[in-house]
Amino acid sequence: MIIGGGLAGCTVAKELSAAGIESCIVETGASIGGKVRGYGCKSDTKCNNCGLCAVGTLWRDVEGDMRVKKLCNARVIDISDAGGVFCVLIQSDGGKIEERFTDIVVATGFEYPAETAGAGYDASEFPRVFTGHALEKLMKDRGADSIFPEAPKSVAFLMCYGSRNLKERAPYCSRVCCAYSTRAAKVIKHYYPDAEVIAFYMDLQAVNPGNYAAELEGRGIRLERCRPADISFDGGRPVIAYEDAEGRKTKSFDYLFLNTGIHPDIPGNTALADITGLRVRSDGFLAYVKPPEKTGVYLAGCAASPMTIVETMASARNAAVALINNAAGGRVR
Amino acid sequence: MIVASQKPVEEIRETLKDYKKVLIAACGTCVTVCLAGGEKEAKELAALLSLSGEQEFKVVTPERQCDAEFLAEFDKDVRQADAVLSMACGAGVQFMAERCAGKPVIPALNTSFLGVNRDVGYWTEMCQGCGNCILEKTGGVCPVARCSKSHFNGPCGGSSNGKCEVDPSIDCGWQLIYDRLKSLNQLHRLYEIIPPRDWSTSRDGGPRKLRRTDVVTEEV
Amino acid sequence: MKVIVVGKSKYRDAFQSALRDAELEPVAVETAAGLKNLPEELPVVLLYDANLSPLIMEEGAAEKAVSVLKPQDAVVFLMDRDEDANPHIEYRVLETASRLASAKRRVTVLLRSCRAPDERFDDLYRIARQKGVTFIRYESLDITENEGIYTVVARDGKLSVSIDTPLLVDCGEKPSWELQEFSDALRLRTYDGGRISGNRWFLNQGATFKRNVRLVDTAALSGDIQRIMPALVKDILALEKPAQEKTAFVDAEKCAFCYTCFRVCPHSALGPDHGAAAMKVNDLLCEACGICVAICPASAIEFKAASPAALGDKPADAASGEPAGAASGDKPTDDTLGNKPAGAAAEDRRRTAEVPKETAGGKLKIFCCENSAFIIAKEALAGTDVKVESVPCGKDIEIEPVPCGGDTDIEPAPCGVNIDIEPVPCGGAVNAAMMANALRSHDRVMVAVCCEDACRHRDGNKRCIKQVERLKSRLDSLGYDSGRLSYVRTGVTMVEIFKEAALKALAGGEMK
Repeated sequence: MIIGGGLAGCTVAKELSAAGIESCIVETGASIGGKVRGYGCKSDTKCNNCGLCAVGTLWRDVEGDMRVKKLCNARVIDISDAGGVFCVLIQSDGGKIEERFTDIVVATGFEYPAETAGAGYDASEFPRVFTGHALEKLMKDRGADSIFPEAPKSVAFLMCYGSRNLKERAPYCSRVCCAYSTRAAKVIKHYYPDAEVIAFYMDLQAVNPGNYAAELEGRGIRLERCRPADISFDGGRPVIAYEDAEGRKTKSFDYLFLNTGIHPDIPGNTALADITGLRVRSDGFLAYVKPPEKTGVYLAGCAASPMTIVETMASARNAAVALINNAAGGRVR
Repeated sequence: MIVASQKPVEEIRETLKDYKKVLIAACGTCVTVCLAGGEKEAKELAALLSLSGEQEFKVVTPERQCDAEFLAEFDKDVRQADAVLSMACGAGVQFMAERCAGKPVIPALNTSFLGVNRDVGYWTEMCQGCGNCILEKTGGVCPVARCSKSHFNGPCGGSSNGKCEVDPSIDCGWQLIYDRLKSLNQLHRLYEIIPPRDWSTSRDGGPRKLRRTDVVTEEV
Repeated sequence: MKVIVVGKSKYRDAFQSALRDAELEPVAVETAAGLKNLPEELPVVLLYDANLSPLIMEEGAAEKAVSVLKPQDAVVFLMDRDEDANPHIEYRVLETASRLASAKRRVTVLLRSCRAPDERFDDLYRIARQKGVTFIRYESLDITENEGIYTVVARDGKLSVSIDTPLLVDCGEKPSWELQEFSDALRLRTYDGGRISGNRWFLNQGATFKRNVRLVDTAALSGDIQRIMPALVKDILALEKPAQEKTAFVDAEKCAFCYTCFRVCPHSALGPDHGAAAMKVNDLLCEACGICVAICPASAIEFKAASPAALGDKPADAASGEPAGAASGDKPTDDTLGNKPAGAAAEDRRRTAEVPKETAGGKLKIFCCENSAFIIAKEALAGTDVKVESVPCGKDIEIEPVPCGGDTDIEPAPCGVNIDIEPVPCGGAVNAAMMANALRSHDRVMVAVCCEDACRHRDGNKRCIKQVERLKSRLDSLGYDSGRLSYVRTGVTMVEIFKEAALKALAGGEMK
């Protein structure tokens, strides 16, 4: 059983299928694909290395794969030991069903915060504010000449918005935001060369080899290192108040992007840890207690820690390969 | 090998305009290697020229057009055409013309030089076929072909940073000769004067012919 | 199965024994010359020990270096690295800095950007801060040296800091000249700067364009070879079979032995067969991209079904109508342009032989790269009022309408005649002859290729665009409307962009 039909879960399913192993994806959503299926390639005319092309025909392949059973609109309620195999209780459209599996892969991914940390409001109420998920949709749906309904004069990115902040429940780096938001910034600047694009940051990852900050500034993206102090709205337009070396400043923008980061689904992870024998780390992500070869429970993807698309696929592959090797060698629990 | 390049496509079309059925004869040797007149180029040209819908084209690819046996394979196709567009070098075009009595044979290429392939898509002239090779005296670099003025005894003095005054993208032939003789520790050879030559071994003596009488037994 | 292990890495023994555990047979090769005369398709692992300062790589080396310093001397770590392929170097730097700081040294770490790969980095960073390591971020750096003392001036906007130190540890990676030698011997297509990689470095670090050659960066493993072994072994075993269901195949009779295909093949899968005086494709290296098929000036290369048979056997000739090298007696006749007859072409759509007129329909023909445009082509055009027909390519491309995880709903696409879509394995598999031929049966032709730097066959997309541009100028000189031919660059999700380009091409314009 693969809990979660997103990027990690589907990658595991495809690997297992290639090795002749059948699997069953249990997915809470209406279809497989998770969040990544809604993501958009971030090349302007040049590839910006987001890794989406590695996904390729994954969704289609898994949807058409007879060895992969797909239970959508379903969730795992309970797992118990039934003499060396797992007996799983699944809640689905057709009611509760019970299935048996030899191994379990936990690939439940992450969640988007319902509330953007620190702002105290729901960003979806504000059409000029985009969180990570909404940014991806823009990148996916864009036309050849336009991204937004109206061309912006100024765009702001708040990096590290949902992370690296003990107070607001994310005492870690989300790993992906520097990359995806600066890529999106490059795309926006390419479409709207006259727009002012500013990235407010505390730390900037070295996303590409070389001096990434210089690369971004060479593309006309202004980098401001500061702590954003406050977001307010002036007639619907976001206004950023921030402090830099010279003191406090404010600036208003047409569009605001918040890097809300990757957050673990803590209640969901806690419940899963209970029934799978995994543990919840201090930061809310899942981790092994005993090695998966002993327990038969494997972890893949962002359920374990923030990961990029490429890393997620690599982690899923590793889990699948470990599972296949374990199956081939005879399971020892 | 022989290096040639395709004539501008509108020029080719102009020369073919009076003919309804055209046989395009590609050539599988030198002009294939220099990407000018091989089967692929012939097919592209055929498709382009067919766009008007007014002419019919057929493509054949003899291995070479400078040996009669290869041409013989396509005599039948020649007979059925109004004209032949030969994509071979000038030698092949003419050989084909000799063979195709009464059929116009049109060249598709401009044959340029004897040269070498330095990289994909890049060829440079190396030899002029002067018939009297002195490469041994000049460290393996030809003053006839690679000096723009064909000087025999040193540079003209117009070169700059190793480049020819005629065209700065051309290496000065005598710079190349000097560098090469130096690397061979043979710079003293520059003191050997190469006398003015008898150019009758070259094209200046008229179109040349070559016979190896030892490989034929009948009287010629 | 033999696996060549290249390099004098200090991890070589551990690596070789891990390979033996997996029932593989490691063969050590220390120099580039040792790679000669080995079969081209044998798996090769380049064990690469990053050339880093011993002060951070060797146990105790840093302590030894500081032991000769005065107590008040500062130690400065310069974490200014152009190469960012290896975040694990930062771990070492932080660990070393922490150890020195614990021993009451004044330690400063200078860094330009902060990479936080996982919680381990955050932990190490926090520990280092607690131990008293100073971290200074800079935008620009000036270093001067005077009698063994380095003066480092770090500037960041308006702020600047100056430090004097007798021990400046450069944590950068020095390029390894050996890597270049090995790369040349293996005929790898190196990325610029001599890094063995490709433009797909971020997808699979360690992979090269040659499927049998992998780079293992030992510094990244920190000695933990086992972490990568399962996936690596699986990849190595996969090398026993060809990568795709078909491979390129050279007709030795037509081959002019010009070496063009050899030079352009991104996967170094072609090699000379001097006996036959022709090029030969190594089935186990060929990725069936079609670049050689398209570029061959003698039209001597085509796709054939791959067989798992060892190199040397002719592949089972399932796809084409004629066995290679057949006597001319039973040859099916080509049509007037030298194209294969409709039957043979229909059996194997992958040939660059032109699409026969009989099967062409529609007004616009789009050649779609399978790695990007073809994935979204049908979805992009569904819901418009153009009718789309897709040429079957041997793969099942019928898509059931399924709601995506995102918000897009797909309507089923009716089949029809306005647009013909032909999938190609790479933009580079489309040459001018194919496009010119398509213009005979269609009003307009468009090629949809991957974005710049995104070609998984290195430069196939670039090659295609060059062919398009050349053909356009020839169309112009003939007085035809060169706008009939166009191209678009697409990524795997650019549904809207592809749709706009296709509709615009259909209407007679072009996307820029």
